[in-house]
Amino acid sequence: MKGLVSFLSCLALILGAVGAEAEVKNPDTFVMADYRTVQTIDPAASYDVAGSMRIWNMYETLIFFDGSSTEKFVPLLAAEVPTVANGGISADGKTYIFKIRKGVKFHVGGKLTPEDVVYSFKRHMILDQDGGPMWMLLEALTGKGSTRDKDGKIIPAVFDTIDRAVEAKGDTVVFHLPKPYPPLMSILCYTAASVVGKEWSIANGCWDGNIQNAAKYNNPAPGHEPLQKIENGTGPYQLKQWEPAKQFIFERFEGYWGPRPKIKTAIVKYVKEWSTRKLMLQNGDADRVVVDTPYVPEVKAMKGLNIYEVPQLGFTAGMFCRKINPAGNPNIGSGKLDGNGIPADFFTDINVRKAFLHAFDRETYQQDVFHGLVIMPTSPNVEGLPYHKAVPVYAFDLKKAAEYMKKAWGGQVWEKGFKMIITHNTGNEMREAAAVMLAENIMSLNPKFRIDVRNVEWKDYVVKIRDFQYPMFLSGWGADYADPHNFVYPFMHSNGYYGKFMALQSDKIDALCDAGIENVDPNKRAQLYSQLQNIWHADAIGIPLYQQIVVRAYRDYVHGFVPNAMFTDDNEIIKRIYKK
Amino acid sequence: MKSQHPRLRELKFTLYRIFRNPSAVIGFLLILFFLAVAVFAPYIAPPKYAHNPYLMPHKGFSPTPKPPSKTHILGTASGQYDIFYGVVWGTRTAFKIGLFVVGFAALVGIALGAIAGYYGGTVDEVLMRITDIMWAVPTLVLAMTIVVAFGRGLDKIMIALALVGWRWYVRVIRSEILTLRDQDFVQAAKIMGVSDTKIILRHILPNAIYPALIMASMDMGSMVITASFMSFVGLGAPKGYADWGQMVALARNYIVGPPDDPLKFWYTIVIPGGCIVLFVLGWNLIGDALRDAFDPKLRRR
Amino acid sequence: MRFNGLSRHNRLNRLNLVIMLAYITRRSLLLILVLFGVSVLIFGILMTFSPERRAATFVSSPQQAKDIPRIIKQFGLDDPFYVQYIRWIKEVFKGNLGWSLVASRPVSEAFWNYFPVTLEMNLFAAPIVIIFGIWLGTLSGIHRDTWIDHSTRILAIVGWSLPTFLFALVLLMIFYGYFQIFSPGVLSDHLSMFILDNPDSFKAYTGLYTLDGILNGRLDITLNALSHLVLPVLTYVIVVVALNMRVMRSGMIEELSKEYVITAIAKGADKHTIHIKHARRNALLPVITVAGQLVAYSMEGSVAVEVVYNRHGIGWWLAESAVQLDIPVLMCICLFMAVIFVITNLTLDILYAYIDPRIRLN
Repeated sequence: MKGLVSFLSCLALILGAVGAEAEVKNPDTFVMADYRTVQTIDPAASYDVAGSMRIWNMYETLIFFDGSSTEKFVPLLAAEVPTVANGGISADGKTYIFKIRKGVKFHVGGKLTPEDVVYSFKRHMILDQDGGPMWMLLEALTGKGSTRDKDGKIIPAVFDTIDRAVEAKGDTVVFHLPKPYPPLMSILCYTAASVVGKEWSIANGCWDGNIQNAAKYNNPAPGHEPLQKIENGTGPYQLKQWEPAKQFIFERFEGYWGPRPKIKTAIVKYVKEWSTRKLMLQNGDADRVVVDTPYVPEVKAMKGLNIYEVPQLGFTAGMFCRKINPAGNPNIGSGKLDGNGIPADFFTDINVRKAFLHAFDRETYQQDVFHGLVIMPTSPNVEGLPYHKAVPVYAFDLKKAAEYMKKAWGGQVWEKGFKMIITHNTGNEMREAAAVMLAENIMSLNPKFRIDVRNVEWKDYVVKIRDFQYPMFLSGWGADYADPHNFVYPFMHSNGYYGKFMALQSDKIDALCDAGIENVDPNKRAQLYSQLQNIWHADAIGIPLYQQIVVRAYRDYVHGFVPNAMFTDDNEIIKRIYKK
Repeated sequence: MKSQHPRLRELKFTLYRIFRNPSAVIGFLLILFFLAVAVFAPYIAPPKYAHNPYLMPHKGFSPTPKPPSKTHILGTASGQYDIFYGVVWGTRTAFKIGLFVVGFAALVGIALGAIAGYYGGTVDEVLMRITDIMWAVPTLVLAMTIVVAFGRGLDKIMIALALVGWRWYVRVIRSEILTLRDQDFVQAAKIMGVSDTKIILRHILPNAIYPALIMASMDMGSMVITASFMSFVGLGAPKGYADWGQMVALARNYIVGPPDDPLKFWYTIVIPGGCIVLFVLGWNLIGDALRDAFDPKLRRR
Repeated sequence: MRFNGLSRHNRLNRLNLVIMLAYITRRSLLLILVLFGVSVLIFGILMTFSPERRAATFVSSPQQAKDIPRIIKQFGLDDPFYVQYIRWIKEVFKGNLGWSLVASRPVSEAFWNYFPVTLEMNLFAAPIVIIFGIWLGTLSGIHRDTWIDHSTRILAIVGWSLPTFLFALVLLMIFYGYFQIFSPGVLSDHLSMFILDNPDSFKAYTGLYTLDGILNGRLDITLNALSHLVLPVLTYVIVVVALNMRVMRSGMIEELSKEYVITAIAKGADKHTIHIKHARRNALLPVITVAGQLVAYSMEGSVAVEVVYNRHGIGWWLAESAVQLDIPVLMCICLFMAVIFVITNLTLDILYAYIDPRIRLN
């Protein structure tokens, strides 16, 4: 008897000890502090990193990225991932067949049917808000990047094309592509491909299902998309409360078809001040906070944290505009090569571009600005993307920079000197450091060289870039889907987003870019993108600045995070998280 | 003594009254000190770039501040900017902000106030209704809106504050002039055929100017605070520009150090922050003393 | 002395009423003029944005920027000034103040969400500022030019010289950083979760947590909300108290130099009674003006406090909107401030006119 008592008390002691150790602040609640805001949770309109985080937890797509991979997929609402081998993808790459999972419930009730899936894709594409994400699916499924032309008029018969692109057949959904489109699988993981309940959507003012009425539902004003603040997905979490720019609360959906998530309530708080976020993490009031690169050393010095380093699929570069808008432009001084400015076509001379490239100190930049925690890219096709390869870079060498400057414009640049302004967007310390570094190094070559560094608010920056105001601009691009096309095209094609504003004009590059997206054969694509990456270096198109590695800081009792390069640091797949 | 001009005698008494007040002496000493720093800035901290001395020199780009050392006697801020240099040249920036904003606002305000008060009638009505409209929106709110519209930058902040600040002076000067306008000495001057401009400048303004002076002195400080707050919010000077508000904004993320040493980065916030406080304090002390000295109600016991 | 006027005031009651009504009507007309002026002024300032820039407020990544020209077309952002103004004012009369990007919802709806937070802080701060200011001012005025006077004045001036945001940051560092008390925000998580979970048992009567806590019989919520108010109110009071104190001090000095005080003291009346009972009461009148100024200043003073302490009120909204170029919000807040300001002044004038009939004749 005595023995039993002492045994029991021992057990109690052990239990007590375990209990003490397992004493985690609110074990079924996950609190995250972020500083980015959500505009909308309508999957057809949301196109920012914070919004996608919310949508990915409440809605589901047909397929999703497999763990850390950006190329392998697992089925979500599809019963299996279609491949050419299992007959899900046709040999010509123009038909995709998805078998739809059974027994999936929507948050407000009702079971998922193939009809819901078809409706969702059509409804999202019909909505196609300006500034929204639907261009991706439209490009893949209709061959056009928008439902409207340049003047904002609806393209004739575009809705009929949409209507024909997706159809339900038995328990499957079939996509018909006008041309093969290799990145489609990756795009189908994005929030724009989320599935909503058809009846519920119509009841809440979405497209009524009749293609004749589609135009009425096209391009609503920002904030007027019907699902802006309500949701009915199939995902593991449902919206409990959203106080914009304050907090967003998820609650576990008990009818979820998949394994039951451990976290019952997840709160994403909007906390702008880093000091406050840091203290919240330190005091355990937040389980995870978003950390910007400059503060990584502070976080690393903290105790009781789990820290992950996640490389991102993103590329930032310093780009030269070869056809600067000279009208009243203060950024190019006099607008002439007279020592008080630069001509509008200053950067058409490859010697000038090479001089700038040699003046950029990659080593110091990497160590000082990023504490070494960065990938220094060599071309827009960054690490982690298919067909990536390391191409040579222009090493930091002020002598070579001076040599190229002496050659530039037949020696006139060196003789007369020049004056220009490099502008970066306010608050981006990484870009700011790059601009300052370039300016200081170029100025050290020749006392007649003068570069001032300015900053403007991002939204002004975008407008001025589009107006060809800046001789040099520093800007970046985050992955929409994991394919070189999403990076090489915007940076190198004469009609790509940045290519246009750099005033690139090369039929050869354009042809290579176009061939890259139209080919399905991986070997052929590898060869095409290899050529393009070489050209980026040989032509000195721009200065590759950085490919970020974000640091995620969790309290050490938070587990389950799986890094994936497609997800920015705002993201969190809550169903994977548990606290112990 | 008897031969002294009455205005001079009055001034002497005023000065006596001001300097009898210890806080005024402190205020004047503070401002004199800052003035000396501003004037001798090129000798105290020689600039690296002659074309733009307000650019703080920096060595490297590391965002983590470094404590005071032999090469950087007050340490370096985030981005390795030399704090000593920034504080010295920031003094000039502070005077620039204060003098420009207060100078412009006071000149415009006094001129409009004098016109409105002296002429009265329709002129007065129109001017005062415009002032009412300007008056209805608080300084910070209106200034922020203007800065947003004009684009960020310290120069824009200065313009915005100047455009907003004048309305105070209009009211003050106008109400002073209203009481003086009908007094005997003004009427006498009018009868003698002295021109309006002369009456305003020679007879009315010297007697009406004191409240504006007090206000100007206090404004020198409060405008620097407002400007630094706008820098803090992110509307002001770019990083690396020698401006106290900008330096505090730069330091905001280092206000709490690592858990084992929470005061590790004190110098990044205390030094520029202290400069703002002392500068503003100096002007406020002077303003307060001026008020005591000029206020007829408080003047003599 | 001024109170002697009251009896005469009673006799002239009916006449006064007519004058008063006329006065109020005139002032109300002016109010409309001022509001119209403010709207044109602010609209004009914000129209200095190019259409591209205003369209760019709708985009947040380079990927979206390609749609800028279409957005300009859709909203007619390149129409002439008056067309856009009329379009805007029409919407305002329909109750549509536009869409706030910062709040991700309509401006008018967001406004009522943020307003109680600012109101709550000011409801606590204003009485403290006024009472504390009166007390310090009286003290300083009575003991003029002594060390008490100098030290209280210097303390108040130092407070007034502190940039609010800097002081707030330091307080946050000390209290939340070291002692881990007084966390930022409005209410602790577990309580806001409780309110969310039990919308029926905890009703938001006023939107002020301190008051709602009492009305719902949940004192813990009131106390928690109060603890979140400590630092903001402290910051605000220390910075603003000088304003009130200064007026009180001059008022006191003025009253104390008056014949009746000097005579009374010479006749041997109790100094304390004279100071407190008579001089202070008369010196209080100008404080009404200061209280009015406080109301007008309160919104402005809230900006820095709310930004640093992460309290999502009107001030925070303003700062955020200024940085993110949220134009409809700037318009709305400017107009709102103007309304508050004008109404406060109108009330003060009426109050003054009521107390001191001479003012109406001006």
